[in-house]
Amino acid sequence: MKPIGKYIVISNIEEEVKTDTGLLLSARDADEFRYKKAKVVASGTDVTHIKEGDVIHYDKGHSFTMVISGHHYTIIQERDVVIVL
Amino acid sequence: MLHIRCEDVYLWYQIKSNYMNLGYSPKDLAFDEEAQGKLVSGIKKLSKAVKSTLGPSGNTVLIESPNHTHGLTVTKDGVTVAKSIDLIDPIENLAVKIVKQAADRTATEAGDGTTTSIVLTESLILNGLDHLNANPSLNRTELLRSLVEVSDLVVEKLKQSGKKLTNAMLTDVATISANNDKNIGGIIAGVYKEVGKSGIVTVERSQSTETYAETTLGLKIDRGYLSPLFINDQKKDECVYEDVMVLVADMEISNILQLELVLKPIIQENKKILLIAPCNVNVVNTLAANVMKNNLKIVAIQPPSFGYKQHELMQDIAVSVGATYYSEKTGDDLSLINYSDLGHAAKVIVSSDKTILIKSTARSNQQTIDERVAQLWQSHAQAAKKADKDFLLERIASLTGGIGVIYVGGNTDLEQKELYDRVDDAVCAVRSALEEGILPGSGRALHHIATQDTMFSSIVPHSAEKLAAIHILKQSLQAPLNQILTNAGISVHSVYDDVTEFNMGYNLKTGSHGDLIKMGVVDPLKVTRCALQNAISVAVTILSTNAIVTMARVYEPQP
Repeated sequence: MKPIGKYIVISNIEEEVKTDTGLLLSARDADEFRYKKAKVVASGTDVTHIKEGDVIHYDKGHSFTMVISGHHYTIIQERDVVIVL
Repeated sequence: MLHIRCEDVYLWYQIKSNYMNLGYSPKDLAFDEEAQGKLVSGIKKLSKAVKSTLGPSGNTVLIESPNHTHGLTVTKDGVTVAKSIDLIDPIENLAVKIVKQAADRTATEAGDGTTTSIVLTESLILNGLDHLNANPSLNRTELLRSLVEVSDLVVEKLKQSGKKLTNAMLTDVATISANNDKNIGGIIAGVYKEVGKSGIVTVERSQSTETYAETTLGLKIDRGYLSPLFINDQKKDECVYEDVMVLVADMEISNILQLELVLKPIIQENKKILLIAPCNVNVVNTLAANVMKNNLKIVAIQPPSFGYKQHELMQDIAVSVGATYYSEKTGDDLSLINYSDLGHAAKVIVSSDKTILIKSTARSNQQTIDERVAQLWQSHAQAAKKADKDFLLERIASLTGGIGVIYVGGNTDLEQKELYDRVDDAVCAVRSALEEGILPGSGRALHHIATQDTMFSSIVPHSAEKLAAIHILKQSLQAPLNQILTNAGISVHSVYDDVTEFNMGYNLKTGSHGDLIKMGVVDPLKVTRCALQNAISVAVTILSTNAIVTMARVYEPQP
């Protein structure tokens, strides 16, 4: 599987979200944040700074999901990535 | 037993139909003796029905009325009797309306004394007319003015004679106002002893047949937890925390992060917090999740009541726990709220439908609370409607810290209603007694002033009118005592001829003479005072009436 151009295939990281103060946020609260956390599965041919295995924050508004052989993946473009951890 | 038959049940009336198309409603006019005669006969009818209930030997009255449960009411309560009466003659009915208003005012102000007020009114009017008729040279206006002047002196005298209510007398006052029901008297006195003299007692209907009382020391909010997951005492289905911070806000918390600033110190120092604020479902879930999984100690409830009442109640809560009240109405921004805006309570008990806050002094300021209570008492004095007064009393109670509720039960609706009226009256009378003090009861205080006190003889009558006014009052002030004795079938002379001292009198219940106050035969000063003042006001109105305008109408038997 190789994405083409600026596309990146990622998989979402689902975890309990806690604020710095220790307040547990529900899934719905966490959903209200624009940027989500994910792990890069494969990056496109023209993508330079992001490689497979990176944990990133991306703009969920510009993401699309697809299913490949039973796995859910999210597809974004390189410019939708805001942070590489 | 006295039966009132309402003939107008079988009649219906209509404004004279011939005039219907004129574009105005025609009036009947009545003047002078005719007018006054009708007014007097109206008052006599009302008074005859009401006054038979006066005193410990008062009679019961049966009322047929569609407004009451099962179409009838059995009562010994003067207000209920008075309220049920409407007469068919328009002028007589006007008189009844005026007297009812005055009686109602007495009941609202002092909680009792309706019957006394009506007896006094009737007597003042009859005596006044006697004097005016016997002596046509009297100046009516001057006479009425003198009447008011002299009655003010009587009120002054009553105030001087009032005694402070002791704890032991509490039961007596309550018992008397509950129409001599010892059991009720005991319950009321018990509640007042628990909540203290500034505490508030309210009356509610019981779900069972029993009559009992409950007291709460602290602030009660009629709202329960927003989620059952907050429960930490599974046995009682309650959430109980001690040493709790309190957040008071009336704007919806739509995002949990708005509370971050407030929750930070709570979480880090492992403290507890009660949120009194509307929360959206998601916030409630998040809070519940934090309680369950994250071991935080949080409980949230809705603000009490609605509309302006909510605003007032929330301010009260904020004052008594020492919190800053964040309100939409004053344009506050909830995300600015921080730890120092929270109040503090020694303990909170949150159940499914109510919350009790036990106050602490950690953050609240006693002086601010006292100021607020004083303001509320002022509004209470000015409030005209009973519902408003009750609401204010509840608020005062929640601020001062004691609230008692008496639940009235009965085997039948009828019994419960009758008892409810009596208990309500009695509670109000005890409140009056606590406010202004007590006087010897059984109409003795007014009787003594009229017959044996030096007050009247010390007035120098400059005019024939003043002299007449003194005579009228002297006779009328004896009327309540006379009526109480008449109801018991005893003549005044047989029991009061040898009695001279203010406190001394005849105890109808035991049939013996003695110190009325010591024997527990007492009336709240406020009741007697209000009854007299309102009676004078009505009597003066009616005596000064010379022309009456009523709607022209004809009565026809129902087809």
